[in-house]
Amino acid sequence: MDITALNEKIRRESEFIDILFTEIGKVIVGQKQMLERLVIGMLGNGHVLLEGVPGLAKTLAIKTLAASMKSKFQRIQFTPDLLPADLIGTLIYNQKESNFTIKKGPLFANFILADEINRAPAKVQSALLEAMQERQVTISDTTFRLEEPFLVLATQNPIEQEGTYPLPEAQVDRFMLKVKITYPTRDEELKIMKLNSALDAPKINAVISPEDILKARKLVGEIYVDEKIEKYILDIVFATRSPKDYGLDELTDLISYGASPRASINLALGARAMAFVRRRGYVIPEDVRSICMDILRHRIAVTYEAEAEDITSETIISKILNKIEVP
Amino acid sequence: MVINAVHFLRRLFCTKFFQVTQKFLLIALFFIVSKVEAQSISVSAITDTASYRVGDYITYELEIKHGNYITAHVPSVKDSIKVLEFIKELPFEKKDVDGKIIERYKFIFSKYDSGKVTIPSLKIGYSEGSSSVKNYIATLPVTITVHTLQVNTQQDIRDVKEPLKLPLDWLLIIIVLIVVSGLAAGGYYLYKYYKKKKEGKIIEVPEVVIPPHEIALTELRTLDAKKFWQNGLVKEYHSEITEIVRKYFEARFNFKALEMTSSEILAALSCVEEAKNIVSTAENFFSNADLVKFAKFEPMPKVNDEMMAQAYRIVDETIPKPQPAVTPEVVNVQ
Repeated sequence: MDITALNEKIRRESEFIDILFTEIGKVIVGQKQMLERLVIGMLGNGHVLLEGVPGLAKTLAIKTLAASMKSKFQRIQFTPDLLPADLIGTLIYNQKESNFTIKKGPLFANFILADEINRAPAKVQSALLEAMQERQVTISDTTFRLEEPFLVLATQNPIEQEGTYPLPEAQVDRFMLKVKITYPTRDEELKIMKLNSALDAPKINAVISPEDILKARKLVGEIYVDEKIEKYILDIVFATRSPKDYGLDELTDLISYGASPRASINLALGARAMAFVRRRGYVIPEDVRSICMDILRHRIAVTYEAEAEDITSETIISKILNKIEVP
Repeated sequence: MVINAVHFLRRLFCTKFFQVTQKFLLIALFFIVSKVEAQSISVSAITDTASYRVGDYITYELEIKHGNYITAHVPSVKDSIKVLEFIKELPFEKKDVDGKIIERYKFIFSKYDSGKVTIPSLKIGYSEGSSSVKNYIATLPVTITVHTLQVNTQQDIRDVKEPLKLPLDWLLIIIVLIVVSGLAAGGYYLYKYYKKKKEGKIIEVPEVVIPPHEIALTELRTLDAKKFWQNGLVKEYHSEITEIVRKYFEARFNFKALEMTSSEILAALSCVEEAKNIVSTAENFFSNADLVKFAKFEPMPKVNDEMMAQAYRIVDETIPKPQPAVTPEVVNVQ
């Protein structure tokens, strides 16, 4: 397709993004980056891991997003005594009919909020992550496809680590984005305060349907990515693996292992989704850079030396972005 | 009858024969007793003191006195005394004093626990002459007390001994001073020598610093001459022209423009006072270039020409203005 026509099509079809943000903005003040990332996760058919201290409207944002989309939302509070069957469902014996009937679990929804995912043991995390990857659930000998769109938004509290089961690197890698949520600004907090003390809570209207999302996903796949951009993405990902080749010798001892090919895939996908959100039919380096931190921060492991010097994966990504030449 | 017997004995004792016999018997008894005494054996065990501190050396001395015809068989003291830690055995002494043999064995032990310690008695074997019969005699047990070291917990922990102070070796100090002075003098002489030599030969060439705008203008002229877009290399033309401008920004305004996206460059430019007038031109320039570079956009020839014009404008409008010459202040002195 001609790029001008594509650009025009994207501009037309992505109109709902603004409507969606306006609707969510009735309830959520600020947190623009988090909302943008949630939409990118939705458009990129990926899942999002949210990290932030309690009370930053993580749950409310997801609930509002689900409410504005005429879709089914489920919240699962992860606890140490949770079982895989509590997520995926189980077989229940029916005494009347003398047979087993399937009781589907809360995973059978469009939007799943896995609250404090690191509080549940590994077997429960695995059950969820398997469903995330395969987009299907097997109860007894019956396999069920999960409804599309299927988006898991997991939250982690970074301050309480006691009694938690940190997600292994291989499982964290399955999240397309890891978003760190920060406190609102002073003005935003004032608005939040006023909004929450008002008697009438704003009502959220369903402005888009799950079909709109599926249609948008197809369009995201059509967004043009120039080979210069592809090379730029590869340069960034390869710099996490062999920083020496990119003149970043000082990072060699700080990176335990670099980003996987899943990072390149998701970076390209995320950049496309970002271009869609910004209502463009092509990707520019700006899209790559703006999504890069959220795509890569959980895919780079730092060494003990780096930890001792308080160097995080974010510091490494920043150094890489400041070194790799933008096309 | 009893009276008669007493009377008979009194008479017998008073006879000359009895008195001679009595003397003989006394002499014989003396020799018998002397011989018995010469063949006797005695043993004793002592320590140098009865009170020790933990880790002190304990000297255990075993003394055997015996006649010439007796052979003493001393057991292994090291293995017999288990209550102490064996350190070493001192040289053995043997003396002959008035026909008696005195054997002295000395051993050094130590003890690393505090408390009362009883060194058990040692069984010494001996045999007389060539007899194979072995008899035994034992020493008395020796009791000693081992005291622990008193630690004053109120005071700081200090070294057991003060650090040793080396006495000042004046001769060494003088030698070192002479060597150092010699080296310093030699170094100074060499420095002076080479400086003089350099001054005479090397002519300093002033480094030619080409201002960033001149480099950029030259590169723009070269690119224009290459006629890229006229030959269908539109994307290459836009890539090169943006790179020239970004390199210029990096050198002129000292920010990493090559590693920045277009919007980041514009944000950086708007913070620089001298570049504020070109921000809108730069915005137009970069957005056009981005369209060509990343969106397969095929611009009209007019746009390509405009890109070059914009690049020249960006450079020309940000050329540093020459500093006005500083005129000396005139002070009106009356």
